[in-house]
Amino acid sequence: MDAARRERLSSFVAENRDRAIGLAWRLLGGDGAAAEDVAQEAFLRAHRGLDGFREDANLSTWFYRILINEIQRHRRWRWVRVRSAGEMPAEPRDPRPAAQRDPALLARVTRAIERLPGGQRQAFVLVHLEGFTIREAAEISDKAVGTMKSHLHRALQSLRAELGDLDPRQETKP
Amino acid sequence: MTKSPTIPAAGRSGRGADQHDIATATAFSERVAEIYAAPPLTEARRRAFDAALMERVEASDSSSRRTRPRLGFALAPIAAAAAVLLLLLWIGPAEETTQQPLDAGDQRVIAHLPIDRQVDGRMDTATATPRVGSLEESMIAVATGPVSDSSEGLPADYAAIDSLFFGS
Repeated sequence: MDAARRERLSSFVAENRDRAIGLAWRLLGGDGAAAEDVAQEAFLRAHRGLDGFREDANLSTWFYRILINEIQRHRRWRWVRVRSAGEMPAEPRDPRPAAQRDPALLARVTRAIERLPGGQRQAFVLVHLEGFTIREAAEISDKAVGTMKSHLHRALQSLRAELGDLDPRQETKP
Repeated sequence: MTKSPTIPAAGRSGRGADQHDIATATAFSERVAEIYAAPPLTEARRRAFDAALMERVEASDSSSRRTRPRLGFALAPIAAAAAVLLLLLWIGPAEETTQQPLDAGDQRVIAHLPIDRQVDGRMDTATATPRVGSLEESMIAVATGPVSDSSEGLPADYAAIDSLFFGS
């Protein structure tokens, strides 16, 4: 790899590493080790495909699209493994020190998000948790903007119903 | 009966209600985002991630460099076979159109042909047999050619089999 290419990759990784791992973590049910593996694979694939990247496209959107594909692939592989081997889904393992938070509450939120259908989960995480615009999220997920809005609406409804105690609407009720 | 106009409740309908709902939805999402977030990466973890990634990138680059000549070797026999095939295709029609000297048997066959199918005592190959040409020409020749006995022109052993099983 030549020096210029290496430099370009390093700066891109430095800019996007934390966000990519965070996004993968959220879409993989809080599995930290899997999130890092998937993010590495996405960076590697982006590096291999960099020559074919069209300059008119947004590099970041293009990369997150690769990442989302890798996440989906990992989820499918995990599903097949669980179905075929009868293996129970592994508890999310995270090598990093646990943050100051209520583990029971985290487990409840994780379950609620994991129970959402795939499209809704992806839309909710990308827009509401990661701060992408609806248009960016639609591009990343390769879906229409209207579909994305519909997923967001349904996801929000389901989560507010399931996690009512976190909803300010419920908290203000007598 | 007249319908009484709807009186908006102060501050909680129309645009105001929408604003309130958006505000509560945003607050809810922010609360979920705060709870459901990956623990921040430590500097050591970042370095380990970057080092592992660069190692994989180097390995991937060197393996792709090694694969290229192997791919060339793998494709060489295919390229050679294609070249031979092209050569045969090129030589094939040339041989068919080459006029061979006639032997005595051919001379007898020609003698029985109608006069318009002979040219200077030789068989007019253009009319006597369909010319080997394109697939389209072959199809036309099959479709429009005279219906002949299938046993005609069979080699002796095939003709014997034909007469034994089909009684022709």
